Amino acid sequence: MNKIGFLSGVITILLLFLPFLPIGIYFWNETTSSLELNSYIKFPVSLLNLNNTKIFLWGSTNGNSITFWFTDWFNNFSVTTVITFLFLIVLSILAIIFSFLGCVKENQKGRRYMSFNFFAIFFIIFFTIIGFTIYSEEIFGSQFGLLEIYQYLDTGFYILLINFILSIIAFIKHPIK
Amino acid sequence: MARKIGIIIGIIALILSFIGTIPIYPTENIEINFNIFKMNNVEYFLWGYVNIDNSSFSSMLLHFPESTIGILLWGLMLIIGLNSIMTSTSKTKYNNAIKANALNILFSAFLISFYTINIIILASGNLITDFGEVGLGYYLLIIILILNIVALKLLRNSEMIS
Repeated sequence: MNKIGFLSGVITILLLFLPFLPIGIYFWNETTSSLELNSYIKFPVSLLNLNNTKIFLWGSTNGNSITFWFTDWFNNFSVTTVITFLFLIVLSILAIIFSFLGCVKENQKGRRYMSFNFFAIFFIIFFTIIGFTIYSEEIFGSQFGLLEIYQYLDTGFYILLINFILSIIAFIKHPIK
Repeated sequence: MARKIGIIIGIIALILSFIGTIPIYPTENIEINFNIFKMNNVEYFLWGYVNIDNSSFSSMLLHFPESTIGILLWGLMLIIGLNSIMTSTSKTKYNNAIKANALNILFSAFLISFYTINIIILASGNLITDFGEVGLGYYLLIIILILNIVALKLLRNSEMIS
């Protein structure tokens, strides 16, 4: 089993489905009334953070409202939302599927799946830097350049970069029987 | 045996990385607290600290480069956990397991010495009473180090026998 490939899939799942990583989990104290899951620290997994607008793989938040890429697609159809949906959600789902399929197959096919995972994550990173710069006016309401985007990158993007490195290692070290 | 120890180390390390408290008997406020130490009504965990009024803070949430040390400490514990679990499978190569164990020993020794120095610096004068405030997290760190050394010795012994 390709354990690094599996880890890469788990990280992509966390980025795609969570708004934050719960750290310092507790289930009960004087302020909570039931045995619910709480956490002291909410570690952000947003890709970009610009003027309180946070961009995640699944959508965006601006402090007051949440927008999912797919609901935005149905409500407010535009090329920007379709492309964002394709590059962030569809590619993430494909990356998860390929990493889990690839990690259990110890053959050339598994190695090919790991390469698909690598390319999927690469295109997500590519879109985050290039795509959000091109569509910054439509998404953020203000135009910014390619070099400006680097100051808005958030922890989710760096986690994605680590995931990208893991996907390269998973592809190179894929066990073949 | 080394494999089983590795899984135990991994579970302990992941608990220390992610969990603050686990309730045992909530109505009586009996719980397992994984703090490293407690001083002046502040509980220090591996991921941050919690005040007596339940307000919390973590240096990991600060901007770069202020967040580096917080993320590094938390990341080291996460690496120990993932390393231990990933090298505890039946197909792990002997050399990789040895390397991972040696890394785990290095990282856990670093974490223990870092928090020991912190406790000594924060100690108000009487070291013996201040070390009484050391929490379960600190002892679990020591247990992780001991278990890693035991696992490494068992691995080397198994290689010598085979």
